[in-house]
Amino acid sequence: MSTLLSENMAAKNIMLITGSRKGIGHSLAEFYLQEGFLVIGCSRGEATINNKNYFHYSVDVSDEAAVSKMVKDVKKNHGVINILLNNAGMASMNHLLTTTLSKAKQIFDTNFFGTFLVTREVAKQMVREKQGVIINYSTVAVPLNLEGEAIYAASKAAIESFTRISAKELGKFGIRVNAIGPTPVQTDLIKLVPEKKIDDLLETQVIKRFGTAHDIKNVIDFFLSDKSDFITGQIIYLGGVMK
Amino acid sequence: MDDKIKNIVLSSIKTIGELEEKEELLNPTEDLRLFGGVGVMDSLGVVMLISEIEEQIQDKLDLSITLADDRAMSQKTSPFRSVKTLVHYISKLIQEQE
Repeated sequence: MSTLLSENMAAKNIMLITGSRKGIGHSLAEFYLQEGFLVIGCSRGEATINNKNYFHYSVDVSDEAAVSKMVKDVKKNHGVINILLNNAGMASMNHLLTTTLSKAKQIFDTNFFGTFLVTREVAKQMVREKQGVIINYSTVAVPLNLEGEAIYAASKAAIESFTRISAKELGKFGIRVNAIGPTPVQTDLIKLVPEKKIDDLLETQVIKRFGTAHDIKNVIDFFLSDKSDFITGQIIYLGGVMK
Repeated sequence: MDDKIKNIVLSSIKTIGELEEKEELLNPTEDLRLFGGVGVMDSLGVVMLISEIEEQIQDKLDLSITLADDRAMSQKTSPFRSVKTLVHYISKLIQEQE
């Protein structure tokens, strides 16, 4: 199995980051570009990163045909993706009694079905290579069972089950699948959440502060490390939040 | 078109045979039983074959198809039962796309 994140390995790493136009995905893309990775990004909108090692696809992750086409196109032009960050996500805070079905479906489309579709298509290529690392995104809203986040947390709980079972199904092919559960990070995703709600949430954490893109990268680096080749099917929460 | 698809399927089976060092896959014929019963592939082999066929169809026919099917892992009705059923299934998928 080839190593990841070793000193001379960055040039060989092809990383796909979904939802790379803004927020955490954008920051992570910038970080890994600085480390010499070839980064493929995608989002529904146009690229916001200009770098010779960055290639952007304007794709909705819940569009099956578009995802399949993108992943095949990446292989044709750049090679097999060996690291996938299923970062694209959507949040919506609402009481379940006032949540529309269309919004609930939209959240599941991006968060869960997007993660499933991109994983399926990328893993098909990783299977042949007998190696690869997939990192999914949960949230502390799952273990904390946060009020007002019934649909969002449910979509992320689905990702946790998906992470564990895909780790089993893909482990046979040398592919590791793990997930990170971030705390609130100051991005667009939470800009509409009332300040009081966020303060209350931070109070439930052992370490009471906002997460940063660096905190998330630290966990991703741990999952990517060649020293972590014994780690799969795990969910790591930030901020000392426990299940 | 069916002949092209058949050649892609046979060549994909051979590639998996080479990768996995499975002698029974190295000289596939149209009558080869693939999955279920006396089939020569297990579910892991089918998973590998799916990715190989999709890739060859993209490369050789410039078509992007997805070989996902609710019956894929069914021993009795899987389109991956034999080379013949697989060719028929892929050709139907391509026709639907057109």
